[in-house]
Amino acid sequence: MINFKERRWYQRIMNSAMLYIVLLIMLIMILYPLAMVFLQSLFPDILGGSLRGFLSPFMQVLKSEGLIQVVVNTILWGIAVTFGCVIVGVPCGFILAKTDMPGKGLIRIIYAIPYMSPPYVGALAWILFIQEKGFLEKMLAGHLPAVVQELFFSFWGLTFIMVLFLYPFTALGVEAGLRALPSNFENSARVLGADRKALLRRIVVPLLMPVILNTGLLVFLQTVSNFGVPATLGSRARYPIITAEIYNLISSWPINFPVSTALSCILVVMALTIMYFSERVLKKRDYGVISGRGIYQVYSLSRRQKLLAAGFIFILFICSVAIPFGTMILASLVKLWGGGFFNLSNYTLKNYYEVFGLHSPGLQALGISFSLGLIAPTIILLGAAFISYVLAHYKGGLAFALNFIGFLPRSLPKVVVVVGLILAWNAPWIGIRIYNTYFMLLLAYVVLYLPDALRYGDSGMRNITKNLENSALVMGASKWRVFTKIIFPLLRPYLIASWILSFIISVRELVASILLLPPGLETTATYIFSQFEQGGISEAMCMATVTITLTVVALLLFNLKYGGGPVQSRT
Amino acid sequence: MKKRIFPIIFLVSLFYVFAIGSVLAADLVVYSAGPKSLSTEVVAKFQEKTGLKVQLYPASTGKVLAKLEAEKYNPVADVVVLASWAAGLGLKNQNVLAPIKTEHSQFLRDEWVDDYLIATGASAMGIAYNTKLVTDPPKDWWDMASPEWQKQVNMPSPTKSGSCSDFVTAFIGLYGDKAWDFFAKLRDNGANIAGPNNQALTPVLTGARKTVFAAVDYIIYKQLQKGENINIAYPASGTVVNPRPIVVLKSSTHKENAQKFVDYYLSKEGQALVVNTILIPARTDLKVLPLRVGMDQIKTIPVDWDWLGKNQQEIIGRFYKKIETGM
Repeated sequence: MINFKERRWYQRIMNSAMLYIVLLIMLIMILYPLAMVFLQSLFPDILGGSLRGFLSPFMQVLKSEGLIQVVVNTILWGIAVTFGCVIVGVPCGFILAKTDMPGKGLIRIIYAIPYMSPPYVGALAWILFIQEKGFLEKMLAGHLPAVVQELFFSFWGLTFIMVLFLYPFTALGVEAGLRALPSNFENSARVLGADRKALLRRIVVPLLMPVILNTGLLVFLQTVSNFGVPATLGSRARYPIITAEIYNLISSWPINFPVSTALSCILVVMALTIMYFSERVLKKRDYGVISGRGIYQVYSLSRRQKLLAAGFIFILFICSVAIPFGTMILASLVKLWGGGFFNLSNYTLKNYYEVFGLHSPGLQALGISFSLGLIAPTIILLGAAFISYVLAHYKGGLAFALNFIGFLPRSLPKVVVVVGLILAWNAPWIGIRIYNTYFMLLLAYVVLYLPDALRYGDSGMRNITKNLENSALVMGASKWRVFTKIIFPLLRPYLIASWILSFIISVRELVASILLLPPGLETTATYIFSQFEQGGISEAMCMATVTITLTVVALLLFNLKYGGGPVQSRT
Repeated sequence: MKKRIFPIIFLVSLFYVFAIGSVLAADLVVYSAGPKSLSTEVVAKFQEKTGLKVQLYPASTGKVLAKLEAEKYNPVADVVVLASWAAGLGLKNQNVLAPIKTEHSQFLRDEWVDDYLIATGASAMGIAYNTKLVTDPPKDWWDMASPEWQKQVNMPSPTKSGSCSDFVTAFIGLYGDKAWDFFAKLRDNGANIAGPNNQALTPVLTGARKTVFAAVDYIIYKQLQKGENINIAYPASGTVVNPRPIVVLKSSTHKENAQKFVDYYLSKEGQALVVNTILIPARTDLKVLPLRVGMDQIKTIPVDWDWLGKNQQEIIGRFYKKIETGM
């Protein structure tokens, strides 16, 4: 690393200036909104300029048994989903990693499909499927016991849906974890006389624990941060959850920003606690077995076991893929809701023409989402390149802090970050009009997705040896030239990867759009949401189908180019 | 090729963004509850007539009020149209309205004109029912909590529907605890109380449920006109007629344009659009469409609008907690 202390004093200031610029960016874009959330929860009138009512929002939450119930609900739901994902995911991962089950490529694709669509679309599709006079009832010619609907529109249905979308985390995590374990321990145990059950119980499971715990915590975090499913199914199931309540408190009348931020703080504390434990767990349970040597053992399954496994995966496929996507596509084609389910003439492509006709709101929404999906990632790309470059050169405390701040918006629930952005940019002391314009949404996307890009930029920078940079500098190139001609081209693959990911997420993003869109503008997600609420089911599903198809195509392109497993970061 | 695609995409999107940006510079910003078709038509015809550019935010009363509240320190809207007279009075009590008058006042009903609010039209609340499934509709509100209607009743949420919130507040205002008990019983009887008007109506159209409690009548008439199997009944003990107020915000910087808009809405031309939406017009010199019931044929319960204006927020908040979510 170049020793900057050798430079002249004004050059030193210039060097530090970069760091301070990054600091300024981080402060304004990330810390300021989050600080507003925190402050508003302590001082309900801070936007009006007064400090009275200290802690009263929290008092309101504690006094309201309804709101306490909401917090309890969220925790219970998180735990249930985590359990569900472990129960479903561990066998899934085991089948992939440790058995001679045929068709693993296909199985892996099945596991990856839930990544293709945001959970709220799946939730809406399932609602259409199960509700009274929904597709299931029509398929069974009306003979559906009411208990099915009662079970679905309740805590159990909520858990079921989340597990369907989050089990790939545990499944693939377990698979990776199992594959990384050499079979030395198993073989030794076998030699010493352990039977299969003891083997599993005493060797495989303990070795898997770090992976299970870690993915479990990840699943819990994703669950309690999720907004789409509580907002769609949660209200119909009469099971209020924190994220949906935070949203209701600021978008439905009568609104209450202070209590909303108090709830947000509670949620943040939950999220940070989980992340802390996740780190601790990883550190404690590292048995240090990943030596990479040893034979890798695979269990062969009997025919009956193979059939059982196939049946299990088939059921998973039906529930997580066939039913939601099938319902979505069918619903987009329905002509008349009173018409028969099996009546082929009741299905038409006309809905698509209406939804996406010239000058239609549907086409406009798609256009807005697209433009956001193209511009935001580009800004993020440039920003992330710059920031990772600067931060890679500093090892001090300040750089560490900035790295941490950079990752915050990703780890905190998005709805909290968005509430912070509203408070920050709608405050009376902001001179320029950003809030309530298209640019507010753009800003929000940049804030929310910069951390992901930073992560890619970070790994990118790690892989670039300093020698290239140093030789160029020694040869007299200016820092700017080094950045544009050497660093940027080398970072490009990482940045393009993150660009495509940000594009995919932006195009179907829900939380920020629903809270920040100015009047008259819609994105794909808000269109789906509002159409569904107003009874325009087919319109909503047309938009959903198109959006997901686009996402799938983009994801396929991404995988073709960059190989590797499914994407880890999704919303 | 790859090197050049990026800047091209970027520039195209930037161009698009600025195109959008210009759209947002409007001469008048209107937040409107009520049927989207009506507000967009009124705005379109108004733009044609005057050449002014209008930015419209169509949403439910609840969302409009929430947006106004969220923007309280940085107001954007000039004119607001709500589906709840009491909510309009609520705004008046918060001191955010500018005084309003119109050149058409001689044609309007007295009780629908206030210094700060003027009704643009009205609807009445009734009981909607699926005509294929129900031959004998409920005679009164109180019947609908009986076992005969178990799990067959839908009701919009007063936090989302302005007319419903007026109705619920007036109902509670008149009957007090009896009303609270009734709503709890209604919910325990399996009624689904959620969403704006259309969300409550759709299951009754498809036949999944039989009735809507507190249905807004013009919506039902519209479906009837389309040929759907639905109709509306007005309860014997009386219902609420909801005048839908238009107001101008004190913070508006386009008060002249706002005045033009208000006058247009209350002119014969604007009111003709209201009549076509099967609402009751504000002007007395226009008749309702033949397929609907007129003002004089609807029995109403006594409503103290001032009391509603002062207490609606608290009552609806309580309703949401106690009845809708059961918290």
